[in-house]
Amino acid sequence: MRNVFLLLVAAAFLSGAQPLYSQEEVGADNPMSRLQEAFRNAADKVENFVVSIDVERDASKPETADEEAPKPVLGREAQKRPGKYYRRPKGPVSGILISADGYIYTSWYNVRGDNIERIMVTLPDGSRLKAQRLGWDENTDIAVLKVDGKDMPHAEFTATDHLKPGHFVIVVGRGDDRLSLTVNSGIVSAVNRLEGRAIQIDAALNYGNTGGLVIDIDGKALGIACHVSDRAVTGQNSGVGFFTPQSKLAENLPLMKKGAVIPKEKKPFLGVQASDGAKDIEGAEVVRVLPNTPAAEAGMQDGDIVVEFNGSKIIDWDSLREEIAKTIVGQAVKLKVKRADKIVELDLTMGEKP
Amino acid sequence: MAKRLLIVLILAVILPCSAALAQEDDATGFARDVQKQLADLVAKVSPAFVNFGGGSGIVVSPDGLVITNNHVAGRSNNWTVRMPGGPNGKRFTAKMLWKDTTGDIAVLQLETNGEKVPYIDMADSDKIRVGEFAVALGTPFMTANEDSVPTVSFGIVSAIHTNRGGYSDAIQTDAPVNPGNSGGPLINMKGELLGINGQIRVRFPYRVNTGIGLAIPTNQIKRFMETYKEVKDGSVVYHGMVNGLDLKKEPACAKGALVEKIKKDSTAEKAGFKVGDIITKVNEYDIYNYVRFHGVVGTYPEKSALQVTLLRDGEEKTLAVTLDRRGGGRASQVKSNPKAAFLGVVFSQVPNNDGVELQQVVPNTPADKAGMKAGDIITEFDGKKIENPDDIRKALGEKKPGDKVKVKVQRDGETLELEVELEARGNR
Repeated sequence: MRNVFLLLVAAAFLSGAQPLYSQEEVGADNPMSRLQEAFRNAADKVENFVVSIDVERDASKPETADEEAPKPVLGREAQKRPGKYYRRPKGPVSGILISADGYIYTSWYNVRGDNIERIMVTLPDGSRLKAQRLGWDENTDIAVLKVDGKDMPHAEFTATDHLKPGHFVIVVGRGDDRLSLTVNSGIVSAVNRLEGRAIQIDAALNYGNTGGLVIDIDGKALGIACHVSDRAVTGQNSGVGFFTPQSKLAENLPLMKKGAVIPKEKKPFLGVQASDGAKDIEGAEVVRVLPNTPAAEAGMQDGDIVVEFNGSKIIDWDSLREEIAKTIVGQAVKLKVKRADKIVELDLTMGEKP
Repeated sequence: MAKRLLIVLILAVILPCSAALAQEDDATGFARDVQKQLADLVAKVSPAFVNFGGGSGIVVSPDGLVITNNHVAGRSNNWTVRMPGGPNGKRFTAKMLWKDTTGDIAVLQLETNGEKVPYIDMADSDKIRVGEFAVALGTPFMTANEDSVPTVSFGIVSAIHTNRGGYSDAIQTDAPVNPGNSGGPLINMKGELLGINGQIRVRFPYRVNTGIGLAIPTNQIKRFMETYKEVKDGSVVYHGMVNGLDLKKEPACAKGALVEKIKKDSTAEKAGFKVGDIITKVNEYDIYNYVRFHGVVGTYPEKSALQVTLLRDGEEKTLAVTLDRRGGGRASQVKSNPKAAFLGVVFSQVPNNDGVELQQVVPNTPADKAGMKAGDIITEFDGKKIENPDDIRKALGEKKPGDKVKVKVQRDGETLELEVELEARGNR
């Protein structure tokens, strides 16, 4: 009796119900399926090179000596502060095997700081190995780790000269469970960014896939996803992301393998945001004075118009930028600003660009 | 026989492999073709990008007409802008022709000394279909500052006819758009301008893309460019509205917009509108509810002559109406004064100037403490009637931190009266 009922139900479904969409109609090799096939294939090709990294920190200590433990930042301040915008979340990050004997690239931000107790790497086969942090380059945001191993599958990087804005890119990282791949797609947004140190992409980058591998549609390794940090104004998943390309990776690899640290280039910093290009005003109009910067300490105010910097006349923001670039960190400079139709003189010491 | 069997076996082993390989190459090859097409398009349209420093713009005519957002360029009538070319970009002087402070559009003229400049065509934005691909060019987070080569992002059109205050007929896109993309183009797969990117929805307090960007459609901009083609002195131009026409707020109504009230001696009365009319069309545009009515009317400049089709007692009638001036938006970004009275809300205009809608109530601010909620509509502030964002800015400007103010809000059809104790803005 029950079987008859089931048969009736099945018959009702078979006769009346039609799926809204069937592959028979569109064919298995329709353009969308082929496109998705290409993305899957590309990611499959590099699966074995992508590792998961656990960075175990002593939470009671700050990351670096010159920096307090992060405070939550809210509201307008979050956009103004040159310091931290976001908080480093817990959880594993990504890295890439680059040699048969266990060298690994990751983002420097992932392994930055003095409070690291242990770095553990999970390989694609599930084995967990203790890793050593070797050198890093603060400008390209790249660090080199080492695990013990031999005959390990590893990525070979391709030059990125052929890459054009509009080309597909895929970012491959490891997920929360340390074994699942994370694959995010996007396009090349620009090929020359951060003074040539990075290529910009619109794929979603976040704390988990930073240090992950950026590949093209052929599955060729282009570079390492970088510059996602608690100091990045671009935040996570904004569609503005960067990777360090092969040529920049190769530049300092021998040094980093030996444990060398390439520090951030010191750039002079005033600490103001200006409106670019508005010409009705002669001078450089300061839209915002950033807190805790040389400009703020010298008493500069929102709305001030810089008319003289270090003895040179300032006609617009360009000329101010040029004059700032001529100074060095720590240099004392005199500044004239127009404030409510009065000229105010300020003394300040150039800071370092964060 | 044995040999033949061996061959068959080998074939059997080889064939499936090579078939799989061929399929993979085919798929990858197809994807390469797609990306080549996108890269070629990007290469063609990028030279028309204009870098306003903190914002973006696009050239739409060979003699150098530039469109951007009013909130990018509105505060100055003369600009130095950059376009791609050379290591630092090419510099041009641009002069403001006119600005639309409500619709957030500014149109400028590049000084090209008779030289032709790269430009893109303007699409017919009425033909946009949800799901079509879109490319955004811009300088999000000032990324294009070094060489003025734009940042390119890719996505689809998520929705059309999104009505958000001055953006009354916006194109919604999931192409990543961030602070600095403002004023930049949203472009279709023919390389034509669909709209000008100008707003993003963000998750407080982070000003980064969440997958919702709004662009002002080209057909609205074209209407203004046509109407104000003789305006070249940087003046403010205005949107239109029908004074005295109150529509019933039934967002779900799909048949049209129902006229609920008509003010005496108003434009609506003079044009012949009657209570009970169901508006079904404005010019060629179908009207399915009151939001869409305001959305369509919001795309026309003041003094535009519109044909309104309506149903009265079951019969179709057409009325001619000339639009009144709609209240202005902000002249440009207002500088925040830390000593000013602060409420702690993000608001937008409600269709027909019936108040301002709270889009966000910032936690731990006077508005939050007073019990205001996102979605509330402020209709009265300190005894003053609030019709549009300007009214509330003005009313708030007259108050000091510490003042207690009575605020009337509408929530779920009810009117509530709340008391807010204003605080100093500080660095918020």
